[in-house]
Amino acid sequence: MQMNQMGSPIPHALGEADGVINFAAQVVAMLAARGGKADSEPRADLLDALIAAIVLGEQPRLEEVLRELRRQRISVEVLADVYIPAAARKMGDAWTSDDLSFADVTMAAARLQVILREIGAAWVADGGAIADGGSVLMVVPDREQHTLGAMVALGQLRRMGISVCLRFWPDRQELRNLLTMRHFDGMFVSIANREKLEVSSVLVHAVREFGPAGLPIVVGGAIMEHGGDVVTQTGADAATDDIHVALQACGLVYEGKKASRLRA
Amino acid sequence: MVPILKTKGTTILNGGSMPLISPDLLSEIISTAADIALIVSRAGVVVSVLINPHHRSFGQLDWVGRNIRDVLTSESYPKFEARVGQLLAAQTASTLSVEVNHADQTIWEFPVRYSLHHLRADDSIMMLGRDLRPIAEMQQKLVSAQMALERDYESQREMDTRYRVLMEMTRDAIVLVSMGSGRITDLNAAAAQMMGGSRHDLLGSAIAQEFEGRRRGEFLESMANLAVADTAAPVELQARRSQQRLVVVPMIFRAAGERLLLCRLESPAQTKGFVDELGDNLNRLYHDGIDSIVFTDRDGIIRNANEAFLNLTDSPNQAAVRGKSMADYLARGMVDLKVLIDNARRAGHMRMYATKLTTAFAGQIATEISAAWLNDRPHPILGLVFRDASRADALRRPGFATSPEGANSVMELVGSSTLKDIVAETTDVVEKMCIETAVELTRNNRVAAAEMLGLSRQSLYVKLRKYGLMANDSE
Repeated sequence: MQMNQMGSPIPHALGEADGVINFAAQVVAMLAARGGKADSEPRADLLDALIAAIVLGEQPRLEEVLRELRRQRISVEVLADVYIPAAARKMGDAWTSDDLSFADVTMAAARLQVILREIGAAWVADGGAIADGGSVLMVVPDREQHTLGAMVALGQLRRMGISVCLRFWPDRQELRNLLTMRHFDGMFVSIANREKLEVSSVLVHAVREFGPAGLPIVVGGAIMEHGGDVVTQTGADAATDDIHVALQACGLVYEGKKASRLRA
Repeated sequence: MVPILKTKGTTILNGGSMPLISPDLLSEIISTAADIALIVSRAGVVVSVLINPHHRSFGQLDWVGRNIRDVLTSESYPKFEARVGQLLAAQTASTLSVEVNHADQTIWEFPVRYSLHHLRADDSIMMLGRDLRPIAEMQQKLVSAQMALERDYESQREMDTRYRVLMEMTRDAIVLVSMGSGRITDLNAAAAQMMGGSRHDLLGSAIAQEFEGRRRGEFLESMANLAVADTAAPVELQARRSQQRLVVVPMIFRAAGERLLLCRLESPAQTKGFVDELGDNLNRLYHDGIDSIVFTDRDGIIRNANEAFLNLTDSPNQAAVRGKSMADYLARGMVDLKVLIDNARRAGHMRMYATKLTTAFAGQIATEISAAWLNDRPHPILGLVFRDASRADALRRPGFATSPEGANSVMELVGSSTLKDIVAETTDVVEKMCIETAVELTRNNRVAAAEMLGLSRQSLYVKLRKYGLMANDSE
């Protein structure tokens, strides 16, 4: 619909054979791209440089890497959505293979989170002039120390125009107050491993008890990589590591650079 | 107590040059050398647990007879398994180490760094562990500190939002000035509009430079007085950029050791009350709207351009664009301008004219222009509304949906070279696409289309015929 409204004479003139257009578009795109940059996969050399600087923790070296990323036209969005999660994953793997100690990994993850927070400062979904794209309560439950995943999702949600309230380790009282005083389209619970399933289940059941009736609750995070029936084990409405699926479970939809509510 | 070592101790150490150590002593050495030592059978059953008597207690670890899997966290077991696999596969006697988390009935966790040793005698594995709890405690403190920081940061964001909305929405024109530097540290859109600049330009500028008139000295003086007196009377001044007369009401306050001056700007009463609601709304749309708006005279010389246009073209301020020809900002220069003016003059308006804008730094932005010819006056005005089409293009061009950057770069290509260059690199399909586009853009004006493509009319006709586009003649 919107696309038709925005349509200029260009697509109209070409609207004869999709195959021809696609072919032509591909040829032109190939010529124009030349350098060719894929956004969904991090470049291994840049990722390794980022990890090395992060683990070392030397600010000048880190700044040099960030400058290099900018030079390579890696946007801050791609840095946040692709490079930082990839770096965290790779550092986790390095712990598994005993190439990094957990102390190194913890420090490095904290530094990644600082970068994420700095670049995320500009992502604002709240304000007077900004249309309501829905709101989400993001909870990192008690004793869950893996917060990076929640922070990455937070940035994505805010960029989509969703108002996000983030709470770490909230107690019952804090949650009760939040859910009473504010309106949320849904609650996201971010956990990293199976040990946190129990505490999540307690959280979900508590919210069902005192939260608004029918509040959709979605569990996500690194837990999804471990398999298992997370929905049954936590009592949540859905479990996913796809932000769009999570939004859908809350009756929100992201289309055309902005999120909005599906239902009335 | 330590059955394996008691029975097999002698065989473990009989090969090397080490002296023969009695099993009891060996057990003591191992238990004091490590914080915790485990012997695990090949099947993964804990055969023996030795805890350093001098070390602080791990509590009662009744692990003997249990599978090692049951006393490790879920993420630790796979890496333990992998390391043991490596150990057993290695023919050399090299040791491997592994960092794991123990979990005792999931109630408490503690990390241990073990070195792994294959006891070939009975194919079991000896694990000598270093207690990592002191490091883990530091880690916990770090994590807690980070959580506290993030919590603070989130609540600061909430406060920021309120401050920002207040500044955006209030009709009062507010300027914050640092007393130390005399520069504007913040101001709202209402204030920027009254002062005649963009918020971006005015931020950081010296407040004294923004005003003129004979009472400017008084304002500076009252600012100096404010530093000692905390109160000052309103001063009427003339804003340099907008040439508007303004009443400045200053007030001082302190924030974190910095002395800040809050100035409320007011129009002198008589200038108010003249604008009706529609005029006010149009004015706000012009100043606050996201679409660029430009008014030119009948020859395309810019008379007014709004903030959005300045942003789109990276122009520093109004003065930089006023008096210039609109053609300077259009990628095809006079060709574009002529098409716009001619069509607007003839029909009164022209909609969705697609072209590119040239920015101050020679960048190009795809844009769609609507033109209106305001003819109800002795000197007609051309009103132009620009819409940044680079975003929309990604959506509507088939085949590019995956990457908006891809679509942008394609448009860069079409704009940056003449048609001939592109044709040399691409196929007839691309050539046809470009010609069709040009014909559409010029509303089937063959002369303008030929000029746009850098072709002679004859060449254009040849190509139109070649691609079977002559049928469009009837349009």
